[in-house]
Amino acid sequence: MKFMFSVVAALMLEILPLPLWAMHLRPEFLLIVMIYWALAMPYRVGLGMVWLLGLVADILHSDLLGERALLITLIVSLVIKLHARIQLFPLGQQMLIVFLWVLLFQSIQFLIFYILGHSLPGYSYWLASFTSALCWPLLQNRSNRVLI
Amino acid sequence: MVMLAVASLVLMTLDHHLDGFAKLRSNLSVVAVPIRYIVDSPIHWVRWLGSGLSRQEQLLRENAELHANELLLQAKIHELSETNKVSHQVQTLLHANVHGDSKFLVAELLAVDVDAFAEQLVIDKGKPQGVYVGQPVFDADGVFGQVINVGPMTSLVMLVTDAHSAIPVQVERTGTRAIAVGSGDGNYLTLLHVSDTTDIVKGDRLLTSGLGLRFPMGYPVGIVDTVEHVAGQGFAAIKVIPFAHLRQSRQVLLVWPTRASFLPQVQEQLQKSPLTRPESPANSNSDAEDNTE
Repeated sequence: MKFMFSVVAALMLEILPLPLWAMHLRPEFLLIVMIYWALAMPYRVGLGMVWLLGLVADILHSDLLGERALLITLIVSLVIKLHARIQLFPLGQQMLIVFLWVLLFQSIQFLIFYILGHSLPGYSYWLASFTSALCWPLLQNRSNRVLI
Repeated sequence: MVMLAVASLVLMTLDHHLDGFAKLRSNLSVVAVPIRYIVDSPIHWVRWLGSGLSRQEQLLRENAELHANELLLQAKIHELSETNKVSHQVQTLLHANVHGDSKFLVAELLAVDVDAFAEQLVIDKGKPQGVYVGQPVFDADGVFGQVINVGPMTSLVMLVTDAHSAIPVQVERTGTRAIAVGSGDGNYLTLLHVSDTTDIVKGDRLLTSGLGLRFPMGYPVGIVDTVEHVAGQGFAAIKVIPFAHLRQSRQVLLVWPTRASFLPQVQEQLQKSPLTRPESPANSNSDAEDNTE
């Protein structure tokens, strides 16, 4: 139930209209919510489900079909593999590792843009990694759970 | 994992290379419709409430303004009908059929972002209304963009400022033709390949030229903001500010342009002529233009 709610919320946040200056600050909501669930219940999150949700995000963003699906599945499978270690990390360290994952996500996406010959985004593209990491405490902090 | 990765790689390649895939894609956009509407509806309601709460004074003022505007427009229509008559005569002289009235449809923009780095918007009209890919979209002040994906309930519009957008334009003052390409950062367009010596200055209005057969002729696109002559470069760097209110418009116009076609005997002549390409049936507005030059 909570899972469904958080997924719908993440998908809505993905397309919530933002003012022009904030457009490039939008965190990768679906990705961090998926990372959260992969850490919270690593044996119950199915990769197929994650892939399908990524596909829905692709459709919402009218991206290349399968691009986000591939990247999110890739990162979530990494998270599941490493979950035992990361669960024990303090919050600061978790934020750092979330930052690195989103950075990985964005780097591969950038590479795909490059291979396809799309016009490449500017420096502000990379801000999403920072904002995603900053959103992590909202999801994870056990004393004041705001979102989940 | 491996299977999913392969599946997405296959999907990506197919989507990138296969034109037929666009159909599946547009059908898949149904999945996005509920989420888009859930996001859109509260914003829509707040706006509606906002307009419902506007003061009477304001409404009266608006009403007066609209009346004044209507009078002005009426006057302009009379003027135009005169011009129309003249242009009708001229076109009959040139053996081109006069183009009829284009069909218009008002579409509402959904309050959702699509992609931070692609300037695209979602409108609430789709296949049932006859929307097609490549259809021109205007707002009250100028060219807004074109449709790039048609779904069963919504369609995707690419703004003129998107990096992938290009519009054939013509300078109103001199008739010089150029191509206006989106800059990708939301505010302006640039003119491609305008040689350094071309007569174009700040403040020139650009209209659609009708070449390329996508946009009808003579609609305002933008105004030249800066013209930079870079030493050692063959082309001038020209910035154009679009007329359309790309960030503020809530409603846009979808247009079904009607194209003028040649009279049958002219078409026959054209078919025989060695100059015309065999694949072009020559029934368009802009061909008529070219032919008269």
